[in-house]
Amino acid sequence: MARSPFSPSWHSVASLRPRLTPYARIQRVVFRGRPWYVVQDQTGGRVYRLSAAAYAFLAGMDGNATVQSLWEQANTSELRDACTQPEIVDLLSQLHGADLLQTDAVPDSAASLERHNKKRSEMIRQWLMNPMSLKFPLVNPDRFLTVLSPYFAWCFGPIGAVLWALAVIPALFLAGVHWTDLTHNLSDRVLSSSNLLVMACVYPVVKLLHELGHGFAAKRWGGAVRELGLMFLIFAPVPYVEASSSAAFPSKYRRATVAAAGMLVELFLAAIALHVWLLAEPGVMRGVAFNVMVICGVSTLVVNGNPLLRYDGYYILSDLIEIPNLAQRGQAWWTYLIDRYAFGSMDATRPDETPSEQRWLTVYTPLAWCYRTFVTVSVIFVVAGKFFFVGTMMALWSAYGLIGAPIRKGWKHLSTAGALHRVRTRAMRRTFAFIGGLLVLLLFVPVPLHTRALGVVWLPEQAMLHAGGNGFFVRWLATPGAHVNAGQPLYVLDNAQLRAEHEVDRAKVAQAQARYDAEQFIDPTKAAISGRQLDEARETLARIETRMANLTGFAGEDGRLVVATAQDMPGRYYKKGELLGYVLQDRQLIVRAVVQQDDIDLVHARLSGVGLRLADSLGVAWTTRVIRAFPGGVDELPTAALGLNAGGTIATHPNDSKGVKTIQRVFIVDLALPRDSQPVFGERVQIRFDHGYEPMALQAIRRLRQVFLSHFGV
Amino acid sequence: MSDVRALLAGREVELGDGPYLERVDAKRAPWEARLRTWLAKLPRFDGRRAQRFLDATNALEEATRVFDDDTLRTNLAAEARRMHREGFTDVCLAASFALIREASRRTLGMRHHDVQLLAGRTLLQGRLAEMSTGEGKTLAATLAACSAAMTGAATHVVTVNDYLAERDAEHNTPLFDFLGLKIGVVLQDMSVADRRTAYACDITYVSNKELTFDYLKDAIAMGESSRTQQRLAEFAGGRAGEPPILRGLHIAIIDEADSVLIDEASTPLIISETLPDDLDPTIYTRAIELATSLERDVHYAANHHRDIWLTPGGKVHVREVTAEFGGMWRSAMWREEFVQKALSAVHGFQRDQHYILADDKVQIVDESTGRVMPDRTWERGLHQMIECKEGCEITGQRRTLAQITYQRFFGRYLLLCGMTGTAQEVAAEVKGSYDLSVTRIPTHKPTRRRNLGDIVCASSDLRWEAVARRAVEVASTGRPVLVGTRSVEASERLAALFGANGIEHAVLNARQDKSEAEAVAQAGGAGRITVATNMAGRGTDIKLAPEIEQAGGLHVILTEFHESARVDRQLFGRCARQGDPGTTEAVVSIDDDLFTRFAPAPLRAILASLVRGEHASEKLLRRYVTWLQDRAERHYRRQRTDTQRRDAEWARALGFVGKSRR
Repeated sequence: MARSPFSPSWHSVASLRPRLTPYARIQRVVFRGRPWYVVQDQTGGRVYRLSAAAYAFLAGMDGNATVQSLWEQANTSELRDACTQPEIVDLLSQLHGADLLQTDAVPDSAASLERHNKKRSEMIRQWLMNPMSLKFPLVNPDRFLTVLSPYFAWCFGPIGAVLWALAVIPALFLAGVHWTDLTHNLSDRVLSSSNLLVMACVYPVVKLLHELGHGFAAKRWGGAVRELGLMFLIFAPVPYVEASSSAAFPSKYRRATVAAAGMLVELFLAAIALHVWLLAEPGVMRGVAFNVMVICGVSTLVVNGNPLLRYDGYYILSDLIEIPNLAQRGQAWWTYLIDRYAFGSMDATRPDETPSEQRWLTVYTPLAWCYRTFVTVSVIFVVAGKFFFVGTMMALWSAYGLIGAPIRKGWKHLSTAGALHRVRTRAMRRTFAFIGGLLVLLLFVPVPLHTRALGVVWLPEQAMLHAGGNGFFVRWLATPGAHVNAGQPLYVLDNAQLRAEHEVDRAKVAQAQARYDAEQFIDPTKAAISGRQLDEARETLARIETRMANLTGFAGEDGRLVVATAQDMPGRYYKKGELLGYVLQDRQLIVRAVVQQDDIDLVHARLSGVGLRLADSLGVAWTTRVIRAFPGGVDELPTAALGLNAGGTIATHPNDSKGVKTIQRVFIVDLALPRDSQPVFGERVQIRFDHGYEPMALQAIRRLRQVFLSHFGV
Repeated sequence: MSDVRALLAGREVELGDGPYLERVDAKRAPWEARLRTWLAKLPRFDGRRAQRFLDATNALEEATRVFDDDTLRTNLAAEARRMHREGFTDVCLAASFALIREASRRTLGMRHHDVQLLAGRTLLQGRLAEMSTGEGKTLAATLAACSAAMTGAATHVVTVNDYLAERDAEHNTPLFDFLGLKIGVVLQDMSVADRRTAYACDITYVSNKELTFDYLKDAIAMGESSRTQQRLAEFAGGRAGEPPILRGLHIAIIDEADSVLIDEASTPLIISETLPDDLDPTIYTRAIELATSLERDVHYAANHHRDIWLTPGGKVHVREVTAEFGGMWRSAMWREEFVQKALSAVHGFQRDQHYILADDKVQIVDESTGRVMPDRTWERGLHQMIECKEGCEITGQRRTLAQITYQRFFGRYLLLCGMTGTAQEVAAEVKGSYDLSVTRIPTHKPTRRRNLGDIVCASSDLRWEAVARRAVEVASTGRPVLVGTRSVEASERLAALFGANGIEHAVLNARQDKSEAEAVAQAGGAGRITVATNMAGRGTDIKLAPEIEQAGGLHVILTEFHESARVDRQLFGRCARQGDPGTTEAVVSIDDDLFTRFAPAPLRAILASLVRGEHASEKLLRRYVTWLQDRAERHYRRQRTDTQRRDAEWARALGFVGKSRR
């Protein structure tokens, strides 16, 4: 809305004689070169920022002058537009809302009571809205902090800084040196049940020190800290202090120091803990030190230090760039951008931001939103995976906070915002067109559907030399490495037992033959029986002979005989089917792909093309075809190279030393190698199966269903 | 002096601690209001109990016939005492109504019908009675008014204007006199002392505006001290101030409740004083001059809801033009404020439609009632701009002293009830804003009103010709004709057309409101043509001569559909009253406001292509109009809920100003 000089509620306030309550303190603070006035309620610690014009008005409020006269005084210039009536009414009601206003009117006790109740119900509503971060104020630590603060004041001066640097900087180097020791098998060490107990003890202490850091820092420069309480972040209790009084500090570095104090304390603790960890013998001491490091490190890096979440990092950032209320102002700025440029509203009030502030706000808001969404979704998955029922409830709750509430807010803005008053139909139309377009795009516009898999360059079955039977290796008949022709004998195995059986069987045949010969002419009836026995004995012999023959291996085709360790083989015992060597032929390499079970249905049912890239030349994409797909799943990888431990993507059982046992079943698909590629046997291959086109929403739903099925079993 | 025991018996009412008895402002969450509107849609099963109540009343009738006058009075007084204890229960009401019915028969010569008894009962139950037009609401109200007044409660019968207040009071005086009840009427130009006397009567007839103004005057005079504080001050020997004008907000029986509670409630009532204007008068003349020179869609844009604003190009243009004016013109805010207001004055408000000039003064005409609203002015600066545009003397700025919304004011009554002929459309809203449920009262006799079909014309000129032709046609059969127009301008235009053709007619509009009673009295004569604005809507009772009933009764011609279907129904309701015959028709033009403002462009184009010259329509047009009126009603409803929401927010935000200033 354009600035209007008149307010319809002016008559209500015009004759009031207002003044600020005695416990309100005003401090001049410069933000980005412009003076602002910060009004602070010393009892509650809340802080309000006023423009210079509003301050000029406020300065005249002495309890004797009426609002009307103050207004006229403020607008003594001929233009009379220093502050408008609506601005003054807003200012007064804002001060009243903050309990900072005293007037000569008889206070309406019923209204105050109602306001009090409303504040309380607001708090409950906030809890309900945001079950993952509940706040319970517990005590007023101001006295305690005031008493102790002189003993800690030096911490926030040069001595403290030097001490801190002395502890932290060497620790950084040491951490680098011992990085592998520190992080080896981290998740197992942290999440083991014995460690969790230690952590549960260490955690509150560390966090309490963190909060005391804030408290003492605020005290150091005269701020008040009147609230210390417990906050339940994802149901885990964390202490907090209310140190917003620092907003009235004129120096931005002091403000930032108060915000950063908690993290500084934690880093310092982590550094000390590292030294302890390096020096101490394994035991409780070392365990505690390790946990201190983990808590301080992780919480600083992931949560507190990140300016995209509303924790310490955010306040440090907004203090340093001198944009208080970064998040709210970013939202207002984006609302304006959308109203003005997407809906073409000329009435949208441009927030009073300088160009550089605008740049910050433009970038910060969407980034923070994306990151918050990401964190919330991950938290939901973690929690929901552990506790299904609670997790799902929480997920729904958070989903409302993340999606439902903004939609509701957006709709409210769209249908009631004054700025859209004249363009509401257009704004509605555009919004619905946008949503409609998005839905069409998601639901109906087909986009390429493909799945990815990892494979290795592999050999066809006939190129592999498997042991034809159980036996001790005797020798190679062809020199390993030499060229062999199809049908050429390559190796000999020896099986003494087989040989013995062979002898026995031969004897049995001879015996049967003899009996048969004897009876043939004497007793034809008996001869018929012994003839059959002879046939049986011959058959047994033939079987044994085949098995004997199998102990000699022949080349299936022309190629080069490749054997890994030829000299070790003689005398070694091989089981039937064990791999002895290869007869390699350049043309005959294939790609053996391992497809995860989530994707196998698509690969089996709707395959429209296959592409692959070889690991040594990822820039070149080849098209290829499926030679065969094994219908059943296996739980062993063709080679460990595909497993997670060896740099592949497929999770393998940690207990399996070879690293080929997969956790989930996988499926094998063989692909032809393109003619012109020059692969090396065993090389990793990236494969992309194309499945034609499908709208994005359907793809997403399939994936989501799989995620739900596998994660939550529903 | 006042006794509200009967109003409070058996009900839970939270009383305020203000200087006189009133209810504490209800605090309603938005969801609560919404829930209530849904509940309002549920049917109410009251049929058998209502029948038992009627039987009980009728059973007592025989007995009351033989009472002498004094016995009637003493018995009624005894009933009132019983009501103090039990409240307005069916048993008490049956006894009380039977006595009042008999008293009415003896004094007014009118015996209340059963449906009127039902209406009276509905009122004292704190509900809204919907009675068809012409079913005798005035008489029904006497039942409730007498019963309540007998118990000692200050009974306010609220009408939409002074004319109706005076008429109804006068009409019922014999009955009230008979029962020993004092009756007062508050009219616009009465002194404060007279008003105080009128409100001190047992029953007070007053228009909604006067009532609310008097309440605001009291609020300003008495400040924000509580009743106890005032008593203590008096007790301590402090000088007792002027007594308040009102006795308290006990019971209000609102006639034409939808008009008062819905239509008029869209703007808060403001009591103000005139201050000398501290602005240079040349500012107004310059602004008007500038606004007239601006071009639409180049310098300013407007939508069809009378909202006008400067385009960015217009702002630049204005800055350039006013560069050498100096003074406040140098401030962008003031400059644009002036030009905006001037644009509204020039393009948004038309003489004889939104206001009339009388005694060289700009007087606002209320669109739904067609009446002049004296002492009303438009908001800051706009009124002066319009005065400047019309070349009148520029009056000073008005300074608001106090204001109140009807929602807030009527919500403070201990017992609020009302009657109307048209409540269906607004039942949900009335329930949401005032917690008043609507009870439909059946008709006494079946209606004999017939609709003759409608005529749509391609242009306004054609319409007036068609209207004139139809009026003459019907009038020549010896029937009286009432032509309803939407604005003063339209009524005068039609009158001019009649005059040019030498057709005798009477005009009733805001300019000719002095002769209202006379015009209404004569409107029922044979072959009589009366052209009237919406003034001849609500409450106007056109008495027909007996021979006219034979000829077919009154014929009503609607010349333009109003945005609210209720206003149309009220106009149609002037004919076929209380079982009389009567006919209605609508003769409208496609460039009427309703069509241009609320119809989507494609439908407008279709209608324009269908209608060439005149076009008779049976049902389709009505359906279309109903749909449009629905849209319009929804539009205004949203405006009203917005106002109400803002009012609530504002009251909350301004908690520090004290009670009386809100």
